[in-house]
Amino acid sequence: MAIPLETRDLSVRVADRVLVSALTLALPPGALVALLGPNGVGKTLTLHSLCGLRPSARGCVSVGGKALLDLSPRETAQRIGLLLQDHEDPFPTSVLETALMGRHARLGLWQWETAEDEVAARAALAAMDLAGMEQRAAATLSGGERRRLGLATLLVQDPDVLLLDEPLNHLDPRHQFAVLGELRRLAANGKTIIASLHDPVLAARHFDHAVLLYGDGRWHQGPVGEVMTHATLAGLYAVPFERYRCEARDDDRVLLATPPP
Amino acid sequence: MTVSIRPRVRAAGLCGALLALAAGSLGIALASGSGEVGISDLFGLFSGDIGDAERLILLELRLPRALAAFGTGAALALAGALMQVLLRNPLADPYILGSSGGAAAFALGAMLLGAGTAAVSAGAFAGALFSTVLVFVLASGGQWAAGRLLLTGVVVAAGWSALVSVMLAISAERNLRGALYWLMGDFAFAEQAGPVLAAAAVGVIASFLLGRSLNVLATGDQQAALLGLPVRAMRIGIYCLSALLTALAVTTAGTVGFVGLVVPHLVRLVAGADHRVVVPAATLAGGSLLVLADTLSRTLLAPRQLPVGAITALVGVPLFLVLLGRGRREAG
Repeated sequence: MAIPLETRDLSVRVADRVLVSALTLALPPGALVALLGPNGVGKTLTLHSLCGLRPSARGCVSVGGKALLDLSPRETAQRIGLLLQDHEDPFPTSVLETALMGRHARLGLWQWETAEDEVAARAALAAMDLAGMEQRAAATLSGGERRRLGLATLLVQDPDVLLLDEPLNHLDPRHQFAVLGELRRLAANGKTIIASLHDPVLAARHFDHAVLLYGDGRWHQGPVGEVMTHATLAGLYAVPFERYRCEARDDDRVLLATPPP
Repeated sequence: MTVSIRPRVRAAGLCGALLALAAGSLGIALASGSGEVGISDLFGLFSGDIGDAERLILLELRLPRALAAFGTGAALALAGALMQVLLRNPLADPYILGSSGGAAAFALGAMLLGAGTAAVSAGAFAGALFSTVLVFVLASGGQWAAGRLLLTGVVVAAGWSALVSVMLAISAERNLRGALYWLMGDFAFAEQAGPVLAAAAVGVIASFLLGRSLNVLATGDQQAALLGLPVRAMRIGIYCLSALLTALAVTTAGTVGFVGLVVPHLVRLVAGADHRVVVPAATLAGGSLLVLADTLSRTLLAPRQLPVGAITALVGVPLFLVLLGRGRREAG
């Protein structure tokens, strides 16, 4: 079976700076990967490179065994999707209409959405706790609600590989756990997932693999237990990390940043 | 789970109502005007009970003018709806690419050189297209982003406006009336309704069929690309179509303001944001509005003719404010 997401010698450059150098990944179905690093190290640009938004990277990334270069925009959207960091709603589009746009790459050029598409969109909205808001204008949603609408649109798009740029931004704790649970469920169903995060505790507890970006070209990847030690995290974020044990859960993966001395 | 595929029903219902409005507005335009030719002659046209003079007035004078007004309004409203998607800016209008300024400058230039009516029209068309190509070339140097396109258009339009002022200052007094025609919009000299009507018809069908893609493009270039849209091709297609529509509209009637900016918003306030509804509805509404406005402009103070652009604004502004207030109450 073809590897869902594979990169060879993928470098991410801005002007003359190399943020990520020769990234080589091969992610199997069901991989749940956290992308970690301080602000400005190129997490977003790396995610954009992985889904073809940066044309220069299209030769280094294969999705489902085919290079992005050889895929049309439509075929690319069927295989890989990305939750962007920001959303634009210039016109009074409703929540349901926005979620239905996820079906764009599955519909013929002139085809209207079918009843099945609407069922899928309503189910995704319900999964993101937006049931009952279908007719609201997307622009009137709160930050967290709009974020969950973006996630619902990606669920409706239903690609094999899901990239998420800070999916937990603006979400309250209950909805953070709901989204993390949904990601776990998708991975169990064979989806390949990479999400950038700023919370090492959530990354360590809810993800299987981690990719650490340092911003000077260096990167590390591997199982969370191996890559995310208090030493590597301290080096990554330039603040001390300490390991705590959570008695209630019999869990010693809790790594917390502590204020620098 | 209840399923409601409403957009299709809404599109059909609204467009049916607007088709009736379009037919009604054309009927009113034909039945109104100076002389004794009125509504009874309009019915006579269909029953055959009509004199030759009346038939001539209806079919050779009023009908071409009404059709030119309809085609121009339809083309401007459609181009406005498309430009607002392309630039994702509610203040975008068809003239944002400088086409009206380019048309006015070239037409005035042709007049100053003593060219005839046909050459002035050709000059206007060439000027409108030249300005859009100029903005395209200047703006495509970078990422061809919405903001850059908008700024380039505004600056080029300002340049044309300055050039027009200079030409007005140095032109002979007898040219001023003709110059006002290009600057304010007027159907008194509209000769051919065919090209603008045909372009509006082809444009509205193409835009309607691509309506879902327009919805996706409105969510932003990156999001649209992620959803599977060939963004660059789509943007260039929209740009060329609205440039052609605007150039033909300006060539037909000069610079008629307001229609392209406000009619798409008016329709969105009533019908939502789905472009499979907005595109046909705005096209029909824009055509009807301009036919009614032109009828008012030639009958209100007859035999004096008012600039049709002023009438569209006088009719449209209160209408728009009422709808805006209603929309706010519903949202709140």
